[in-house]
Amino acid sequence: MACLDRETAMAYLRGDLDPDEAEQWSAHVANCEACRLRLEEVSEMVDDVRHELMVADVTSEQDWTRLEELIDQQTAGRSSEGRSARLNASAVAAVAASLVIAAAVFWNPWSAVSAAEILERATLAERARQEHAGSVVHRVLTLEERRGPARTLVSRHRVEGWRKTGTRASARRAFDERGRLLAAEWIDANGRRTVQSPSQPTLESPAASSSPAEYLAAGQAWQVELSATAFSTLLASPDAVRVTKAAGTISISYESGAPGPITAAMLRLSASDLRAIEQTIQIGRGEARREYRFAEDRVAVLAADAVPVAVFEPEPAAPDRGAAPPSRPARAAAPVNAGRLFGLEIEALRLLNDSGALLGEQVTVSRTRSHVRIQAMVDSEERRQELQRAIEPLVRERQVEIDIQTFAAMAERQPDGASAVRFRDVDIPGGDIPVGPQLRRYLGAATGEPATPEILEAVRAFANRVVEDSGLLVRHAWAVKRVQARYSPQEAAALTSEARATWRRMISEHAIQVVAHAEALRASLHPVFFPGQEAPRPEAPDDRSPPHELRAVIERLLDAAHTQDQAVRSAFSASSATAGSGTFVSTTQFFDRLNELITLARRVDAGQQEG
Amino acid sequence: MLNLAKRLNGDTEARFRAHYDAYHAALHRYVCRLSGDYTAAEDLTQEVFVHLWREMTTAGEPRLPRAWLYRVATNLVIDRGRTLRRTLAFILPVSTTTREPAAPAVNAEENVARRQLVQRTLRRLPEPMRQCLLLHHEGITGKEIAEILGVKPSYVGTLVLRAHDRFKREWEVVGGRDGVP
Repeated sequence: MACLDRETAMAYLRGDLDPDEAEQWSAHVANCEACRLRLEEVSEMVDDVRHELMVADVTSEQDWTRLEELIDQQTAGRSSEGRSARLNASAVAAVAASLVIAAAVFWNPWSAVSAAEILERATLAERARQEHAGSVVHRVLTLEERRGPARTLVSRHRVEGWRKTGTRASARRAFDERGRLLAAEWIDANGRRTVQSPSQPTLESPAASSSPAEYLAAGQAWQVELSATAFSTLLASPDAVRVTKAAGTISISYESGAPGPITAAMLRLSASDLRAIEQTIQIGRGEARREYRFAEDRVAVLAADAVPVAVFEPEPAAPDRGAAPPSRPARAAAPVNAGRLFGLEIEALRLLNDSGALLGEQVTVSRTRSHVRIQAMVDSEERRQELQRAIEPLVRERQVEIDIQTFAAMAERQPDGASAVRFRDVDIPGGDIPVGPQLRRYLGAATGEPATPEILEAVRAFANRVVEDSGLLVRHAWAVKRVQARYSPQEAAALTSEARATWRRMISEHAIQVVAHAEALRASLHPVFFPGQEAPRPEAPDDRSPPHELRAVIERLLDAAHTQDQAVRSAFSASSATAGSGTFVSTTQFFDRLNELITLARRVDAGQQEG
Repeated sequence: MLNLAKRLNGDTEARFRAHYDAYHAALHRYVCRLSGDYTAAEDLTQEVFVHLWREMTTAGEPRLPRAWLYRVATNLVIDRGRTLRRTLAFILPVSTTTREPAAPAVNAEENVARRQLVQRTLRRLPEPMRQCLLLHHEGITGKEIAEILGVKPSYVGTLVLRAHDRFKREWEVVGGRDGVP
């Protein structure tokens, strides 16, 4: 027998070959290293493509809610209520530009890109983000000052910045470790700057932004920007710069041999979007050495009208000079609306979740600047009423919009011939399922004899149950992802502890359901293909994954869920019976994959413990 | 008589619900990937089921619901793509048809950039290949793909393989150098 060519290898892996032919290949492959490698090569290629497709699937409805908001804001100038989602090419282009700039660096070979080029791109990306009107960027930095050769920590401050994109308006406040306001700076839309600090009681001036060096010389480190734009001004000669790359970040460091106050500086950018996330500036040497470190703690992009106006206005009283009781003016001005909306959103999700609506029904919960919108399309009037009852507690909330419709109503409303599409009827012969022989044997059929009606019925019931388990597993895995992706870490931090607990509980419950269905599948299937053998156990989940790994774990979980579902369906669906062999479920690899899936789901569950 | 009609309707509803449960999530994903337009995908998927409902209440249940649904979805996306291209060609000057939207959210940016690359790669695949690749990743059988795309069943394996080869190649082309405005 000749060896597999790539076309046949693909057909074999897909289960498209005739059962006889597939069996012959199985026997051949078992003894042929070359064919085994060929199968691996093809299957790896398919896996790679699947992975890319999955990464590119919309992971978070929120991304698109945000996009809608952007579009709204862009069209708001023309009509305030205009929710017609028309794309404004220039608006999209502005954001896209920042992404393309980032992507270009991200995908290019590293060594070829110079520091100056990276800084230039990062500066462009910053500008693109800033020019794109309609949102407010809230950013919290930690500022540490160290002195002397031993780098003794002398102060640690929190600097909170608010910036309205598309305008010059911004506010910056510095707090000490006990949350007392030390100094503040406001710039209004016309660029007028107001500064209050112990050394500059109240200073108003047209905004002529100073360079980091000047701020540091004046002892006002808190006014230094953490940005590529500001960092660029520090560089005496662009050649004296070194670029290093590590774990999703790019560092640009600089040491000055030339005379001048600044002796060294380092800027760290996030590789994905070229955003400045850390900066260290060193002044002087030896005993006179001072080092300032600015690190981004968190950043959030908020809708402009979710942020109280007061954030951008000077505090009525001068900043605390240390003696007055602690006051936290800026914290009180946190975006109240946003928090309230988060709460309503979580509640909506919980109610829908409890009624099973997050398991693949056409339900979306979206958050706009001022409302939480629940939209659903259901298949029966009964179900519509059921959902309506489930979300009853939210009906009277002014900030919640509810729109639940049935398909029948939708079909009636759509004029006939609105989109006339003609379809050919499709005819595929039904028949036995690919693993029919093994299953009949397992369920007690004698070899060589036609199966009794009872056996056939049992086979059908078994197959239905397995396919159903597998389908539910996938849906719970999707629910894990949909619910988890709803909040970024920054947003999750802004939730009330109660809301966060509800959110985590939902994720955890779906993860546990994934485990339950996977275990049920293993228990049903293993004895069929490996009679008399014990099923392998999954590894105990390792330590809790750190939160930033959770998304990746969920991606892998979903990937594994789809792989097993594809295998189960191709083995147990009648429609593919004549087409292929559906062999993957009968391999030990399938059970290894199932166990890996269980471990992943347990990790997701474990990751939901608060703390 | 009335009773019978009612019962029939109840049955249809149950059958419809079963199809909906079984295929809607997968169809939505397929439509997203095929159209590259995530905002419109929800509506398109909905439309597919509206068509199914109409079919079931008039002509009766399609004999092979899954293949039927994917065929309708494929046709709707292609149809809509044509309209969109015509509209864009009318509105826009030349070659600025990149309408992949993007959000400013910090976390979303990387995803969006990645998504753009995948979409650009998919757009570079010739028509039956793109559908074929995506249908493969929906776990659709060879015979069904053959029916949906109107090709010979024996050709599906080859088409799937070539689609993957081509995807890899275009991916490198798009990801390797494209992107700088």
